[in-house]
Amino acid sequence: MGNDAGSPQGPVTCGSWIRRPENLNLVVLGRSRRGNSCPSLLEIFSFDPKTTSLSTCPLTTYVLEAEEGDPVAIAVHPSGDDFVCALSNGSCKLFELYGRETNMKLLAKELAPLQGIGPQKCIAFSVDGSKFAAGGLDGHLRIMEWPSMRVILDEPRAHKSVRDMDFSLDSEFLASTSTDGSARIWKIEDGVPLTTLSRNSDEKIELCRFSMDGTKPFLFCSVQKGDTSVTAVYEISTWNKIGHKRLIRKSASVMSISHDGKYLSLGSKDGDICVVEVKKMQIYHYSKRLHLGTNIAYLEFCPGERVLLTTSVEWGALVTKLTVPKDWKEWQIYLVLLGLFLASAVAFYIFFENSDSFWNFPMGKDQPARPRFKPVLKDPQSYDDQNIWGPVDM
Amino acid sequence: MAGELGVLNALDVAKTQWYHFTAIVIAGMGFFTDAYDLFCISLVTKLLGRLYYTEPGAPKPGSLPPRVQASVTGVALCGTLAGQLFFGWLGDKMGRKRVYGLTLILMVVCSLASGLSFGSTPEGVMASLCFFRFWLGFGIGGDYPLSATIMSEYANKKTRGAFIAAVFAMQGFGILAGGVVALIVSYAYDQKYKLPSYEQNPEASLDPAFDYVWRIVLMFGAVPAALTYYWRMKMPETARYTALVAKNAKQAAADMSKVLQVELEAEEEKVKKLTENESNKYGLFTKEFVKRHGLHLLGTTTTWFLLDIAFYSQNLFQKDIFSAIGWIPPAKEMNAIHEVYKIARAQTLIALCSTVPGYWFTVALIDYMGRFAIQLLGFFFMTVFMFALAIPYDHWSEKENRIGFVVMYSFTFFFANFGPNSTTFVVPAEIFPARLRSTCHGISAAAGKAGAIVGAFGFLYAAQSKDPSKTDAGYPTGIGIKNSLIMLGVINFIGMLFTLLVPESKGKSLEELSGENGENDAEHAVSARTVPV
Repeated sequence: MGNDAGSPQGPVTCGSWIRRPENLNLVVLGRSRRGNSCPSLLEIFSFDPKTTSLSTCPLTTYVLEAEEGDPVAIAVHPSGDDFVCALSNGSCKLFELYGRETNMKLLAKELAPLQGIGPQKCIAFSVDGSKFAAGGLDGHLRIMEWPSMRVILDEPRAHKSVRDMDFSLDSEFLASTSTDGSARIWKIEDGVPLTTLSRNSDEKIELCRFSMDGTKPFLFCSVQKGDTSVTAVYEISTWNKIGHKRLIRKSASVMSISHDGKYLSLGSKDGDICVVEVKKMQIYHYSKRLHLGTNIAYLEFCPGERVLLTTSVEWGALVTKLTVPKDWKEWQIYLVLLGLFLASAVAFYIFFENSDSFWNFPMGKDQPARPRFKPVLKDPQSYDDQNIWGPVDM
Repeated sequence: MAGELGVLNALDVAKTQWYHFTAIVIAGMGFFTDAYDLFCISLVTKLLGRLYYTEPGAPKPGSLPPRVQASVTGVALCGTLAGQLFFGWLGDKMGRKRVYGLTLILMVVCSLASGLSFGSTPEGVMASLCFFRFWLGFGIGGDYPLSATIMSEYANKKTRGAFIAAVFAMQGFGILAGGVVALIVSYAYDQKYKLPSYEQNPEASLDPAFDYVWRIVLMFGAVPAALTYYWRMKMPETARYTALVAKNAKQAAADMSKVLQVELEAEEEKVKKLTENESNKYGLFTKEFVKRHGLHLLGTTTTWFLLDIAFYSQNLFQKDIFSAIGWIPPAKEMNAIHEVYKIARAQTLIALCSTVPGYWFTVALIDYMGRFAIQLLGFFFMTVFMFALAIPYDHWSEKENRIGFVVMYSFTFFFANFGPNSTTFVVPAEIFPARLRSTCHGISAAAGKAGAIVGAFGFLYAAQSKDPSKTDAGYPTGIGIKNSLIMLGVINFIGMLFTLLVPESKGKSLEELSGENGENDAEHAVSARTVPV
């Protein structure tokens, strides 16, 4: 799927990967209204890993009513069965995905606690799918249990206006940033603020993502320092800044972490993307002007492949295969093990063939593998231990 | 506990919950399987000797020659050492859960293959048995550290020792299971084929069907491995910051700071920072490590090494000792299958009455008595009972005194497991700094395996009689059972001395133990934390 400029459909405003069973990955895209002839849409596409492309026709489409407004943000539940869409009319809607790939349908449901709450800038599920958070343009932050929708946190003045937010891997913390450059950490279990991230007066913390690697307890933040955008790393045991590094050349507009936590990706306001290996904070992939001259609105790693989904208003949705080192595949490990196995089998065989004296069999080499004694007719009376379960012979 | 991190505090004080016990069983199944597979071979080596090495007309039944006995018994231990190295490297490359699958599949396949050891000649059977036993050990070597890791991830501070010891204690049940399986199989065959003893009729005392007995016992090892595989795969991936649970957060932060630009500090704070970083950055091969932890590492490696010499010697060669004192009759007085039955019964009774209780005494008391006291007490009593057996050995050899011998011998197993066998596993996981903990534990475990190999191969020769006419076929003369026991007693005594090098870790957090807490206080004072809004 490429440039859809001039197409009769509206511009892509948001999107997300949907992980389905059997390593199947789908993509949901939200389109806003264009004029009177093109209504707002939600479309589901299938992803083909062989060609690294989305299907040319959507598997299913949902048309939003005029009064519902346009889709603003999408959050997919980790189970892959449903997702929440934030709409410009100030409500959030739940969409359930059911049926197989050839017969897929979207079923819409109202979420009562999320009706009429005002436009939401960010919505997100926790990694284990048990929590849901919504950050509004008005700075109102909500955290709820999912699917019961019990309120954990309801903070009307969390921020001036919510800019970005993310759940930690263990669902213990929520990080949220504001348009005024501040960032706060929330303790989810208690529903209380924990701390504010430290920063210099000229720094604005814009984006935040928790590490997805259990051995690296960090929070990655995109920080604007004057005209420069750097990526800062905070450790989550003390919330101190460890250091920072300049990765993307222009101002960052979006940030994402791969599902296994190995890679961090940034998208810029000029349409660049870069992919960084977390362990060394080294750039492994850089695409200039992927979305030429346009702010990248959305960016996310594919759950199972080294592929990025990016969307922008001007250029729509793009799928990019990353030029990063290949991971060890499971079959490669099995191959190494099999190689070792066969090599040692050869070594054992050579030893076996050249070491008759080692085994020291009394009847020579040609003795059959199993003894062939001729049993004498059994005489029970000659057996001298009839009483097996008699007193223990100690 | 001023410097204790809030998150770590919360984890450490977490109450014992149901999932702790679930994790114990799942992690412990690995040790259960390891113990079954490693020790069941000792139950069937006599039978192998009869089946393949009997000479027609010889006054004694056949027995394995020394090199073959050593190979069959010890090759799995060599595989274990190799497997630990390979899977340790592999675990860093891939996730832990995938490595679980690999090791357990390897164990299932090689258990089955051991029983199916093929070949048209006796040489082929023995060679392929050794081959598959090596790879079984390889899989066990991979499973061993992984089983330990699961438990440490879930344990809290107060009962950490008990949980880790409980996982390790599943080894006792594995040894017990080996004996029970051999008992059942040999009893069934004994009842079906009521054969005369070797003395009465050499040829009739052996039946070709007995070839199945040792194969069944070995192949049964695949069952617990398969069960373990099933439960491990059902275990959910722990979405945790394991660096925090395993107390490696500082190391992770240090690694990350190396690839980032660090903020400039005020001059005074900068000096403090450098000092702190310097004192915490010593590596394994530095003077600072030797000064702080050199004796600790020496203590943990030597105690584990010495313990395993004694422990594996006794476990793998119990039957030879029992024959020497007459608890098991001379081989010529039994038929082939009856011999397996007697050996299995004796080993099972020892496991049931002393090995298993010893493990669980440790589980119950390790967090009250402390690791140091248990290890010292264990080595001490092992020494005492070993000398009590060895010095008046001639007295115990008489038939009417053998029950006393067995009781004393059982106590050495009891205090091995309510003692150093458990604590040498727990302590290295606790007393070293976070960034070196897994390395030092690995070094100590490798030393333990080296001791096991020494015990397996060394005792085999040493225990032979000084009288050439009394030795088994093919063996050179040794120093005899009496002197072997004296030697093991001396080894235990030396182990007791080296225990003094190891510090007590009961009730202390890992950071307190490794001396990191002191630096924590300093760092805590220096850091300018923002007040929560």
